[in-house]
Amino acid sequence: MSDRAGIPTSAARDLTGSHERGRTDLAGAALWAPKRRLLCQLVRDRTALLGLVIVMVLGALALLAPWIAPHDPTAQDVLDRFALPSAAHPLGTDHLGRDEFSRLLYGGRVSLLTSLALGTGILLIGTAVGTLAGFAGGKVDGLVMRVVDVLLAFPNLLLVLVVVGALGPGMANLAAAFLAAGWVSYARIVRGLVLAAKQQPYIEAARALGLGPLRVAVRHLLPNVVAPVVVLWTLRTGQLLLALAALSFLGLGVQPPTPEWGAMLNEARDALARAPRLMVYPGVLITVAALGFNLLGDGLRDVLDPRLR
Amino acid sequence: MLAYVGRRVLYLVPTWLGLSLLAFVVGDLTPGDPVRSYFQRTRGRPPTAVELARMREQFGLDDSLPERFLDWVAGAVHGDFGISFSTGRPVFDELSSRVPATLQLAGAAMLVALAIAIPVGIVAALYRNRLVDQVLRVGSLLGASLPGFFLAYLLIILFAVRLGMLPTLGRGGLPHLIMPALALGLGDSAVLARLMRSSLLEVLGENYVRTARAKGLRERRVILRHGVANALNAVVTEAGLTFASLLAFSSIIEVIFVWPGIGRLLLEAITQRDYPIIQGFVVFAGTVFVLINLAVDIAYVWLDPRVTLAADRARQAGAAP
Amino acid sequence: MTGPLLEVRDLTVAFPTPAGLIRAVNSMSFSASAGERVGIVGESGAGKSVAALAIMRLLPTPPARVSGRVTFDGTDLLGLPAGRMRRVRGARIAMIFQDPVTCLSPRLPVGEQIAEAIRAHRDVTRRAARDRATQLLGDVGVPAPGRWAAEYPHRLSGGMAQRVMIAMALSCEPDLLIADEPTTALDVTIEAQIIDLLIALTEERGTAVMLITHDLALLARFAERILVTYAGGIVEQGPVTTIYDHPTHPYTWGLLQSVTRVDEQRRRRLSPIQGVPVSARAIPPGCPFHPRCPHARDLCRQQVPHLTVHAADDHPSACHFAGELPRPVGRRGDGP
Repeated sequence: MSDRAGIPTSAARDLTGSHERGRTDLAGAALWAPKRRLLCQLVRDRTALLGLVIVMVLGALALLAPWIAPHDPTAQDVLDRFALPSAAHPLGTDHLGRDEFSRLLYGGRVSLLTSLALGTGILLIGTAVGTLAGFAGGKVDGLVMRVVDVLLAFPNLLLVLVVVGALGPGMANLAAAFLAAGWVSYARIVRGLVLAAKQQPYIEAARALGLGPLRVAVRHLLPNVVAPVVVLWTLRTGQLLLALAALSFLGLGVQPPTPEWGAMLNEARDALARAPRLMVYPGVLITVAALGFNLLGDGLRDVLDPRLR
Repeated sequence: MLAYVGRRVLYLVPTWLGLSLLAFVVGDLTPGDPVRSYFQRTRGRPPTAVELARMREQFGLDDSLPERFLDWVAGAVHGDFGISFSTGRPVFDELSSRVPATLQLAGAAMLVALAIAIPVGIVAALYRNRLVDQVLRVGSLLGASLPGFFLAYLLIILFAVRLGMLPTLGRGGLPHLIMPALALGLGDSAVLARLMRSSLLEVLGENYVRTARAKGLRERRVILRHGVANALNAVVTEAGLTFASLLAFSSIIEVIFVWPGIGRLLLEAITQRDYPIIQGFVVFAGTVFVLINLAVDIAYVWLDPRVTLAADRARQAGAAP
Repeated sequence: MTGPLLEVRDLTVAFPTPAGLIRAVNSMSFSASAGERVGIVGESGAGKSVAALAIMRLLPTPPARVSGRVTFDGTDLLGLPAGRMRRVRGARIAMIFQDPVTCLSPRLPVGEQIAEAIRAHRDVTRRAARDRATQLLGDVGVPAPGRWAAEYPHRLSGGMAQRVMIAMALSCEPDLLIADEPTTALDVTIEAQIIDLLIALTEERGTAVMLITHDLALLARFAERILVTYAGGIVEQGPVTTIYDHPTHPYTWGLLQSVTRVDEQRRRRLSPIQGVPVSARAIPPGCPFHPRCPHARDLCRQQVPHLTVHAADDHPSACHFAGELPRPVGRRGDGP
C-alpha cells in the first residue's frame, strides 16, 4: 500500500526506527472506517481478542449463575467448613460451610453486572453533561467546568469513600456514590472532544443548512465522540470493578450474606493462615475480570486510533 | 513564573471553598444523628432530650447551613476544623499527626515504582519485541488489573505466613515498610514502565538522536544522555500525577497493614460516622492534591526547556534572527 | 592519497515489507574526490537520503538490508565493526540534516552539543571543548557566540540552528560532509546564506561535500558535479555545466524544463514531468522512467538501461537512446 504521493510510507517510518507494531497509518482513516473493518482488526489483535473472550465468558457465567451453580450460595453448613475441593463442592467450602464455587458464580454476578450497569450509567451522565457543556459553551460551560474541576481535585476513590461515608454502607448507597463521583472525568473528556469537533467545517455546514442544535449535536457531533468514549467505557468499567471490589472489601459495599468477590476476600481474611485459597479464588477472579476489560480497552484503543496511546 | 504560580495558588481559593461546601453537604446528607452516637460513645448511655439539645447547641448544629458553613470556614482558615466525634481531639491535630506516616508510605511506594519502572522500561525499549518486552507487556497489564489489596495479601501469605520473614502490622523500621510499599507501588510501576518504554521509543526515533549518532557518540551516551534524558519528562510528570492516586489507595493498604496514616483515619471515621473528620479530610486532602498538581505543572516546565508558561512566552518574542 | 575519497559501488538498500522486498536504493555507484562539491538531485523518494544514511551506517540494519561496497579513504565502511565506524562518524565523515531545530537535543544548550561532538573524538578538557565550540559558532557566523552557546535549541531560528549543525559537523575537521536537504525547511534568503557559508567553509578546509537536494537551482550555485537520481538509481551524472547545458537523460531534461527562469524571454507554461514519482514498491520493468518519458519505446519497457557513456565526449547516462535523442536547446544555468 502506497499513499497518494507514491512515497513508501512504511519504509520511511522504519527508517527512523519508529516503534510499536509497525502499523501502517490507518490512523486518521480508522475513525471513519466501517464497523466491519474495525471488528476484523480487533479480532486480529490477539490480546484484544483475549480480552473480549474473557469478558464474554465471565459475563456469560454471571448471567447463567442461577442455572449453573450447584448450591445456594448462602446456605451454611457449619459442620463442613473449610472443606477441600470435592465432587460435591468443586472448590471446597468457606468458613461457614458455604459452597465456594456457587458463591464465586453469584459473586461474579454482583461484581460484573453492577460494574457494567454503573459504567454505562456514568457514561451516559458524563457524555450528556460533557456534550451539553461543550455544545452550549459560554456560561453554562464555565459553570460546569468549575464543578468538574472541584470534583476532579479529588481522586475518584476517595470521593466515593467520602460519599459512602456520609450515606452509610450498602449497595444502593455505593452505586449512588459511584454515579455521583464517576461522571466527572467523562464529562471533561467528552467536552474536549465536542469542542474540537465543533470547529469542524461540517458542523458549520449543518447549522448553515438550518438544522436545529439538538439534531446537529446528535447526528453530527456524537458519532465522532463515540470511538474514544467506547474505549474509555471499557477501561473505566474495569476500574469500577476494582473499586467496587475494594469497597466491598472494606465492608462498605455489599452486605453479608450477599456474595461479592471483594467481600469474599474480606471474609476470608481471618482464615488467612488456615485456608489461604479462600482469598486466592476471588482475588484471581477480580484480577482476570479487570484484565479482560483492560485488554479489550487497550485493543480497542489501538484499533480506533493508534495515536491515542 | 512567579505570576503563574501566584495565579494558580489564587485558583486554589474557589476550589477550596467548593471542596468545603462539598464536605459540608456530604455531612448534611448523613442520616442518623451523629451527636446522639457521640454522646452514646463517650458517656456510655443514650442522651436525654435536654442533654441532646444542649450538645447540639454546643456543636452549633442547630444553626442553618449557611451559618454553620461560615462558622466552619472562619474556623478552618485558622486551622480549626472542629473536634472529632470519636476522640474529642481537634480534627486538625488528628489529621496532621498522621500525615507523616502516610507520606512515608506513599513516598516509599513511589520510589519502589520508579526504581522498577525506569530500568525495566529502558530495557524493554532497547530490546523491543524480545522476551523482556513481552514480559513487560504482560506484567504491566497485570499490574493494572491486580487489585492492591489482593496483592497485599499475596505478599503477606508469601512473606509472612509461609516464610515468616516480614512483620505485617504497624509502622516501624524498614521491614515493616517493605510489604505495604510493594503492595502500593508495584501496580503503578507496571504502568510507569510501559510509559517509560513508549516514551523512550518515541524519543529514539527523533531527529536529534540520529544526529547524536551521526556525531559519532558512543551508543551508551546516545541512549542515556539524548534518549532517556528526554524521555524521562513524560514519566516523571505522570509519576507526579500518580502520586495523588497513590495517596487514595494507601488508605486500603493502611487498613490492611495497620499503618497509622490518614487513610486509615478516614476509614475509621467512616465506620464511626465521625463526620468532622470526614469533612476535614476532604478539605485537607483536596488541598494537598491541588498543590501536587501545581507542583507537577511547575516541574514539567522546569524539566522541558521547550515548554513555556503563557507569561514567559511573551518575553521570548525577541528570538533569534 | 590516490583515487577518489569516497567510492560507492552497487549500493543497494532493501526493506522487507508485507508486499515483498522493496529497494529504496538500487545498485547506485558513484564517487567523490577530496575537496569536491558533489550535488545529488532527485524528487522525493528517489532514495537519496537513504543512500546517505546507508553510507554513514545510520540505518537500523534489521530491517534495512544494505549491500554493495562503500570505500572511504581505502577502508570498506560497510564491513567495519561498529566501534570503528563510530570513530569514523563525526570525525572523518559528518552529516547535517533537514529541519535543524529538531536535530538538536532539546535539553542541552547548543554549545554543549558541539563540545560533546569534539570530546567524542578528541582528548580535550571540557573547558577546551567549550571554548572551541564558541569559536566555531563564531566561524559559522553566529553573532555573540558566547551568549548563544548557552541557549537551548528551541530558541533558535532555522537558519541559526543549521549554522550550529554545520559548526558541529565541522568541529572535528572531517574529510567529507554529507548535507541532506539542509535548506529545504528554510527561507530562500537564509538558504542562500547557508549555501554560501558551506562553500566558504569547505573551500577553506578542503572538505568534500555531498549536497542532497531536490532543488536543481541550488546546485547551480553550489556543485561542481551533479548526480541525477531516479527510483533509487543514478540516471545521469557529470560536471554541473554539462548537465545544465547538455542533459542527455529525459528525466534530467524534464527537471530542467520544470524550473522557472528569471531571464527567460519567452513566456511559456511550466511543463512538469508527466505522471507522479515512482514509488519504490512499484518500480516498473525495464527503464524505471519509461511510463513518464515522452520518448519511451519498446526497448525501454523491456530492458533496464545502465549508466553508460554513449558518445565520445559524453557523460554517463542511463538511457538506451541518450545519444540519439533530440538535443534540447542549450540552457545555461546560473553558472558556478
